[in-house]
Amino acid sequence: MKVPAKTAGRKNDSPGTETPPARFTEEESALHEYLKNKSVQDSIVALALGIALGVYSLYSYHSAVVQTAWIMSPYLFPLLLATFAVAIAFSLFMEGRYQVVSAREKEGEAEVPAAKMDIKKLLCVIGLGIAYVVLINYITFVPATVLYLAAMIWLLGERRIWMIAAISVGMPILLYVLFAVLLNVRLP
Amino acid sequence: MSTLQGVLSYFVDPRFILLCFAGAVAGLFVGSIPGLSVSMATALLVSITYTWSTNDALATVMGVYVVGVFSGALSAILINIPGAPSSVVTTLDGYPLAKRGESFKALKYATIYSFIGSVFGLVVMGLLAQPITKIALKFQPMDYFLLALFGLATVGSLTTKSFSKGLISALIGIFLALIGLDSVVGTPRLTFGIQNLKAGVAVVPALVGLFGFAEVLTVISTGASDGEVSKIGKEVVKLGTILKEFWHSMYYCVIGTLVGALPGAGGPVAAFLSYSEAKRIVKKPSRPFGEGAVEGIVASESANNACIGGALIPMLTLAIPGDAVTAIILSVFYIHGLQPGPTFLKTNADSFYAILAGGLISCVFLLVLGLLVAPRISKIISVPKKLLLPVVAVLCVIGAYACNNRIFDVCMMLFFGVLGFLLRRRGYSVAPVTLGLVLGGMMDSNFRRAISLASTAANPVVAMFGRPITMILLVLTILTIVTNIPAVKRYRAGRKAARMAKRAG
Repeated sequence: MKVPAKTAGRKNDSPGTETPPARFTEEESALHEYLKNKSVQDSIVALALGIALGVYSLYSYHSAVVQTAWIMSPYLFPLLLATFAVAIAFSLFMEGRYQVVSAREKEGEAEVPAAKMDIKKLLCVIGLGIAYVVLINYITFVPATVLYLAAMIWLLGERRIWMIAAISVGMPILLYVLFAVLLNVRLP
Repeated sequence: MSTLQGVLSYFVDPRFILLCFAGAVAGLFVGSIPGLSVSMATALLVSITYTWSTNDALATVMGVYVVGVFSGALSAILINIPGAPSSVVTTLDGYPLAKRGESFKALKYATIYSFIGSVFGLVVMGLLAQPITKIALKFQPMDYFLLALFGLATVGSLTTKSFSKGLISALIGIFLALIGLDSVVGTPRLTFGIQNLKAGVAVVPALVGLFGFAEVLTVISTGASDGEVSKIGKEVVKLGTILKEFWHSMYYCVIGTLVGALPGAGGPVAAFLSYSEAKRIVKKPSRPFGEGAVEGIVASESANNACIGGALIPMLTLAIPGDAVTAIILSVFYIHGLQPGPTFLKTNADSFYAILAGGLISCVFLLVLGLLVAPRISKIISVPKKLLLPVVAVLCVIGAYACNNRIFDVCMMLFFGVLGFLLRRRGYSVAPVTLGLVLGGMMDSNFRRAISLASTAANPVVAMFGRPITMILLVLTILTIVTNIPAVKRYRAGRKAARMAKRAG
């Protein structure tokens, strides 16, 4: 990253010190510190979504085939929502800023680490969920559920084959009898 | 027919009682197994009971609701993992008692005071619903809008540490509620060209995703372990000894009912408030609080169960749900073509009696199941998650599909599951999303109606906000929002600290 001219120009203001690079690093690290804060990150997302909703509402209102007055327009409330979102994004940013500043003041105090997340397993579970829904369309509920349950139980760490077989075969049949036969609920 | 007669007529209906019992048994298991929540079970039930008669559905739902809230205490006491958020406080004293080998005593206290709390809340609901309805009849569109806004602001402030995050959750819910055909003009809105979204976001698949599939993802991603179950002895605990806390419990019940009636607040808040009150008013607890004081269990359980009746009051009289479960119960009404609100008691008195009777009958089952079955439930609580969670995921798919028989709804459920998981992961509560989703459409239509009514008046501002009810609601909403702004909160905390320091100095 290049050093901004403004910062470079100040190099001579304080002779004998190496402030400019230090100052730049400080600014950069401060920005980094802000961007690492979850509230600040979320505030940026909320701001972007708020602006997007506002623009979408205004565009949709003006490009509508049937023009209505604003007070009766379907886009009045979304626009109001967008305004709120921008205001709350600002509030969340300020919360994040306060957290960063107070964390600096309490330097040395250990931050509570967030609970660890098993992303691979999580993605597998979501993937299996999608595959299950797709499979239901082709091979119907009971066979798809047998395969899904077997895969999920294996993924979650069960290794006893008889247990996997018993639950993945027994449960879909039990659910079918309970819902489709007894409770008259339509199954996918 | 008087309310009493109407309610009592259900006490002699075997089918109704049987359905309450079925719901109560389901509630006992669902509430006590960590990872399965009452909200999830109610959301699933809504889709399953879609084809049933309204009263059958209400009987089952009330059984799950009343007993499910109580049974969260079982796992809280036996394995130190609350089965429901409202039982978090019960772990503080329940688990230490269980570790001392007195889990039977803890369970008995939890059962009896959950029963007292539930009955208290429901009786208050029966008594207050009529007078509140009379006030609600005077509500205008702007009042409804402000009341919903007040509810969302309250839930935003109570369910997460960050007020802004609570409000963002509520905004997400409202945004989702706006998708679909506009109720006033009839044109598609925010559907982004997706045909299936024209009918709007179906509430049930969304709730099943937010509470069911999201829970599955959360438990799997954090790899939460199965707790070790405390052994249950059979010590003798006399009823007279247990009832020594009765008068204190009445105070906690009042707190629980009031907090429950506050739109958006719920069991966890009531339990925390009562627990802190118990610490203040009980001078000589059986053991220090946090080390196995039965007084702590009494406070937590009587308050969180009293919330049930409290939460149903605004739901029935104003169509503003008191918590996530009542938001889901509200969708039962909508699905069955009923419209809760000021005219509900007049036009659908039978459903009101069914709710009240279902609640009271479920209280009896709570007592019976709590005393007889709960001490033997430890094996079910310890069902390994690796076997339980896949089955829950399948139930979510069934629940999402059952309502409209559309695979699109199952896809929506998966989407909401991932959304709910991400929100929780980033420290957002899903309760405000639920309330926003249920209330969003009503807020939109009432807001536009209020503006269009005011636009024809000589002074639009006075026409909109000039009535006493509107002014009170406006002030309450503004106060809730302003006092929860972090900077204002810090300023007030600073002033309080300075005052305390001045007094001490």
